[in-house]
Amino acid sequence: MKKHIYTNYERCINCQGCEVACQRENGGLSFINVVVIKDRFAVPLTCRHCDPAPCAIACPTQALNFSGDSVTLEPEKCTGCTLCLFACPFGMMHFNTASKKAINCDLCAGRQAEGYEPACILTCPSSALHYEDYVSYAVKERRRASAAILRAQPQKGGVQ
Amino acid sequence: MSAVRKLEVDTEKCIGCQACTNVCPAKLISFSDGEVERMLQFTVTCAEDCTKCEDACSEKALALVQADKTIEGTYSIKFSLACCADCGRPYATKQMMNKLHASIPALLVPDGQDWLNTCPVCRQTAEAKNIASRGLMSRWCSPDNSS
Repeated sequence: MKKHIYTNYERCINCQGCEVACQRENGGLSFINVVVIKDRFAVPLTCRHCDPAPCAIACPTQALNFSGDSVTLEPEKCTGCTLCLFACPFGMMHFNTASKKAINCDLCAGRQAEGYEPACILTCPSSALHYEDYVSYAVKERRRASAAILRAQPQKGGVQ
Repeated sequence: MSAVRKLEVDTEKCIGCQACTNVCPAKLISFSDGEVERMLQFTVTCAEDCTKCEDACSEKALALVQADKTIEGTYSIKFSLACCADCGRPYATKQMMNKLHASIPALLVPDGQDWLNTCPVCRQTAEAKNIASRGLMSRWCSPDNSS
């Protein structure tokens, strides 16, 4: 089953470690962006690797494709027309001003080839970011939520 | 035969996407964004042995036509920019957004293609607000005395 970046938003502490880790991996460009709402909530946003992907539909040269489990970019085909930037519903496509080409999160393909997790996941100090397949993440989240309910009702739940 | 060619741009077809400006190795095509307009500046003739701009054009709006002699100078085409529905800042040419409206199926987004009318930065903020309001109401409701 395909793995994705899932976020437990309640755990994000806005340390921006994921942004720095991403910048380190990608030569100064960060594909994860922590947006703070009303000075209270930090929401890390990154490419959703949508299927079907609006950016891939918009791409006139088929440089962007949904293949395997993520949206992949073939830089040699990209002309830098920026249509994908404006097609992305979440504003998470990026433009590399140095190479004049589009660029986005590739889930750290290089690191994964060496057997490592994406840099943002490994860096996150509060375990807000998870790199898992949907089913195992959903099981984990349900366990967490039920444990919280049990903690709130000790007399009924017989909490550990 | 002369290698000098003329750059002919079909202004009806061109969407002002800047792909040709990115690929030109001699930087003979340039663009600049103003408050309400984007200006694409083309060289009149080009003597390089290259068809990168023609190949990169997704709209087939650019054509290289044989010319007799080199003509110095440039000419420009102006495009009006679409402004973000939230922050009001210009973000892309209207022609580009029309193309996106036509190419992205409305099926992808249940509530229509409203996101196409906002700039990428506002889309990020909208998504973050959406997530914040969905899951974290408890913190919204707490009195604003946290320091």
